[in-house]
Amino acid sequence: MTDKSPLPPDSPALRDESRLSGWAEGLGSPADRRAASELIGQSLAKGIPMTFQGARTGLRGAGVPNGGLIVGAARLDRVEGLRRGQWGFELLVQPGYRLADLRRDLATRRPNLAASQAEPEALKELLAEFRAEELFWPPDPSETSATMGGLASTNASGPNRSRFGRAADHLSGLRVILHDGQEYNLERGAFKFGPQGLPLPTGRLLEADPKALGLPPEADLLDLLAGGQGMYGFISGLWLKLAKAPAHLWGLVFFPDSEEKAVSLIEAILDDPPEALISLDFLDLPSLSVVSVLRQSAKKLREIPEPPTGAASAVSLELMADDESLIESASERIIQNCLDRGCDPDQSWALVGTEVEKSRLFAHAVPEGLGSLLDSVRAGGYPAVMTATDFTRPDLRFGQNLGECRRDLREMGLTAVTFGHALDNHLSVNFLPKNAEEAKRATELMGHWLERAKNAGGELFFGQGVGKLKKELFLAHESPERIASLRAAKKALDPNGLFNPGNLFD
Amino acid sequence: MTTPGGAILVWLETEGRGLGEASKRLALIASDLAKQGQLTVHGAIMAGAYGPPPLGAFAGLGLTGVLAFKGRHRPTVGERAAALLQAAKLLSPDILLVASDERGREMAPMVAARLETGLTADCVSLRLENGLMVQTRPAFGGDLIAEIITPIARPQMATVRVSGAQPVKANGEREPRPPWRGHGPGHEPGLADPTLPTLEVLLAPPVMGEPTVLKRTPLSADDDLEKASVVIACGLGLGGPEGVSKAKNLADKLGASLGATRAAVDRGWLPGHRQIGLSGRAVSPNLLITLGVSGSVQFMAGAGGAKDIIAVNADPRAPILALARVGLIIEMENLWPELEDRLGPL
Amino acid sequence: MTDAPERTRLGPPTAPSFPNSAADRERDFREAEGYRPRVAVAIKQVPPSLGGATDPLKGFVLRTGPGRLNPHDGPAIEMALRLKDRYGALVDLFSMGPVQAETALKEALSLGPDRAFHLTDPLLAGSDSLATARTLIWAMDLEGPYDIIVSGLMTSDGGTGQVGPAMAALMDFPFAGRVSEIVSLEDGALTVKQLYRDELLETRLNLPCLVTVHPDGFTPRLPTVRARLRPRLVNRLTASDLIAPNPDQAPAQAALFGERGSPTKILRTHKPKANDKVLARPTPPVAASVIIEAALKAKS
Repeated sequence: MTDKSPLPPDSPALRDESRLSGWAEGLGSPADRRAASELIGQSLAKGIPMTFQGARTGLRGAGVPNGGLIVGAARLDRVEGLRRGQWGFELLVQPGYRLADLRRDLATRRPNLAASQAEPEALKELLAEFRAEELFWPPDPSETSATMGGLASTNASGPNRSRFGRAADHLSGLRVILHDGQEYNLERGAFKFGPQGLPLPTGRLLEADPKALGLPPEADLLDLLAGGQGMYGFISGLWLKLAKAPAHLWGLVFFPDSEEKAVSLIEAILDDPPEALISLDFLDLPSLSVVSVLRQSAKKLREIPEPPTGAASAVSLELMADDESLIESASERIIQNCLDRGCDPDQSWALVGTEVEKSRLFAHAVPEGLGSLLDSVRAGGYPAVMTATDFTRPDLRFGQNLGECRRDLREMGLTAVTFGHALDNHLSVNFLPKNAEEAKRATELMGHWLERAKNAGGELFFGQGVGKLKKELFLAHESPERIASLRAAKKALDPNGLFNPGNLFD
Repeated sequence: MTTPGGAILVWLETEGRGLGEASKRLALIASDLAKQGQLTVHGAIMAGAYGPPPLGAFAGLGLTGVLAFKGRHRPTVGERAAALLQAAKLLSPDILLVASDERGREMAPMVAARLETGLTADCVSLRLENGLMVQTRPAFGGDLIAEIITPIARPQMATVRVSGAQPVKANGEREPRPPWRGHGPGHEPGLADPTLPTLEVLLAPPVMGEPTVLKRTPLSADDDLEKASVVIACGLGLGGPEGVSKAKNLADKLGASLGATRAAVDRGWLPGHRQIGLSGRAVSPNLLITLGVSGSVQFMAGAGGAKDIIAVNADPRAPILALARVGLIIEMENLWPELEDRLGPL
Repeated sequence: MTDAPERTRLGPPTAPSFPNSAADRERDFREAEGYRPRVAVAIKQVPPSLGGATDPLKGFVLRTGPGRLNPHDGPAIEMALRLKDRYGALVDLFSMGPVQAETALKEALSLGPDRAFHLTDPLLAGSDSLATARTLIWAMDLEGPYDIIVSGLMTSDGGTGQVGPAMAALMDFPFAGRVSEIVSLEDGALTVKQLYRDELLETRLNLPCLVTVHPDGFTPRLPTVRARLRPRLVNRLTASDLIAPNPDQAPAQAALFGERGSPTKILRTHKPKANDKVLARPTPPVAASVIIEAALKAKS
């Protein structure tokens, strides 16, 4: 199970989607929790650093190893339990269980509960009730091949974040293997921050206050672990809180023929957002080109038509409601918004129910295509990595935010692929540096934007986390209090520094 | 009922100056079927302007007679159908078989419609049961196996998947065998009865109003997947393009052809024409080596013709491990270094 | 559009012949009026698991929920709609299926066709491809005549691919399969490209004709928002609508519907079996040996 020889440099296990690559002495893929405990316990005893990996879909290098042993969660992909919590049904899954598996199991309502420890009779009854419901896991990030462990570790969110929140908001429990080699079952609220700090199941106390860590006052240990990027322990199980799925889901994509019209349409919708609106995304012209390029090689993308000729941008939104007439009237209002702002409402796609997969696939093709384009640059000789930044500007309207970025890009003589979740006033600006000089300028510009976002009270590493890629920027722009608190947390939970070394700080 | 002394008519296609591989296998399948019911096998073929292949090309296939229709070089599907219909009217066969390739699947329904008889498409297995031909084929995307009969209308027609088709034993096997364990025809030409069939040359019936081909561009399949003796199939378990590239080098070193699952093709790791499966190509090599392939029913629908399967998959629950003769539960990362040790860099 | 004389194609038509529609008379009339080519598309609704509702990663299939359009029919509808965009064609959809199989037709209507016909009747149940071909032809004869009939390559549940060619044979129409591109439609002829595995053809067919569409040929469009919001009306046709007005022909025709009219019958069905195998967790050297030795043996 564990190969002691060093992994060859081109082994896929040494890389993730960020295109960063590392090195490791071995790879272990435990097939069950006991094996995982054993492996981690042995490594802890021998002082071997570990890097925890899910599906290696991360964009910031959090799963890229920095020596030591890779502990891959891919084979821990079972459903271990089903229960009824105070908020509704909850599913206990292993960390390697993928979002795609979850969506399949919720759609078919037939999770494979063979690995469950529960009483078969009681489980049968519960399963019958479960199957009578239409459920979903609200965060719904777009990378469906990501593992639940990975999504929890980065506290991931999807385009619907402003409506539904992030991964941590939808976890009611975690199983985690901590630095003492023990596996702990942590329920929500079991270990809460108190006036002295956060008591830990290992018996220690983390002296820190939640605010300094960027957490709400009623936060608990789960909130620290989620988004912890594997630095505090190995997540070996997750209780997912499921919610009742609204009966209707529509995905609309409009293709304005200029960026100004797109911004205008977005701001019109934001001025009076329909109740059913759960996400509103902007894709610029370079984004559309990226998708077009990826289409050449991805057969699945070719099932979706090309955007209409003349499209200079895309505005993609989703509407969700129990009452379809709410969605229909929202659509009519948005058509009116189009007409008022000079957009042609017939340059659009309207997808209903499971067809919404198509607009999601389309939007998701942008980051995926960026990866392919990065690979082309790398093939040309320069070892480019994901050079991108995600930030929010709560102080500006969407158009102003975008306008500022455009101006800065022009001034620095840089081009970028830009998209954003307009409901969060978020922008993701992605560079494709062809050489070290361009990369340097891009990094400088990103630092500049992060500084402004920080001053405006915005979020700096929205959606993708810090990992290894953003370490420098993180250390440069994050407040000293935050960094100090995080170091304290790391010291308390990983005193020997053996978990995911190199993430966030050395 | 299939009465003794009745006939099976098979449609044959030329390749060069001989018969195509698919046609030879179809003839042998018909010949096996004929033995179960004391039937004779006749062939029908379009001869092109210069006439049919030499008689020797039809030897050892169990054919009693061949009707060759002299007509245009490169006939349309409609013209082929007209010729086959003519042959059917002349012979009044009990059974009419056409190979299930692209053109076969177009011409057979035309003939069946004209004869107002039943046609079962893409059969993986044929046998006689109580005097009727039982036609076995996958349905519902391969999730179900259906056995179909044409009780009254004649001839009983079927298009037959020749590359993965199972022979029907001369001892009249009654039990349906799992179709994914095909062993190929089990015959080589020359082992069956070597007597030559009689050959009758006729003029192909004229068909008016047929489409006109204005331009014809041959497309080279840059691989001979269907003819390969060893095939390596790439699945998601290879992890990505790097894994696929190693698999390709492995195939080169072992002299194998490269195929892929639908999942790998959908992710752009390999081009679409390498896809093996229900909506891809059907292969029947001596050995199929699958790397990181889970073995969905859809994949097995194209791979079931392999005589021997070695499956490599790190997940012990992968369905293919149960279907393969040898299942190797091992991570690809751990296997590559060993293979490189033996074969050189991949 | 050339006026074809009585064509001897696959032999003279066998009895019973089709209802004598006013095809020729109407054709002359339309030529005088200012001609818009008429296209019929035969589509089918399939169970959701076969409608392409799959996850790209694991390929899971949805087994519950409403039925979906047969995946190969999307490109067929798209080809017809391109004929509409380029040549002003009028496009009618035809689908045969149980009463609840209207969803796919409604969805398809929001893409732009002019009319949709749902052939539904308990008498039509159990139709094999021959019976289906006949039934579709009777419906098209009722609502037609059509210049071009378009069909998907095959259905994902039956998967026979027989209905299109059977219709062409029964109607005596020139046939081109696996059409991947429209080259032109003019002077009574349709020119297309056909994509077979070993060759690409450019072919001209006189109208009226029938084509099947290569699944990769045309990427289906998506409905616009306004089209989604528009009400979509499907016309229903039952067996009695299809039966000829001539009462003498009615019983003979009725015998050709549904199961009665299907020469093939399903004897039995079963799930595919997997064999029991011995699995091994070999060490890497052993695994490599097994593979290499087996390959060498297989090549010899």
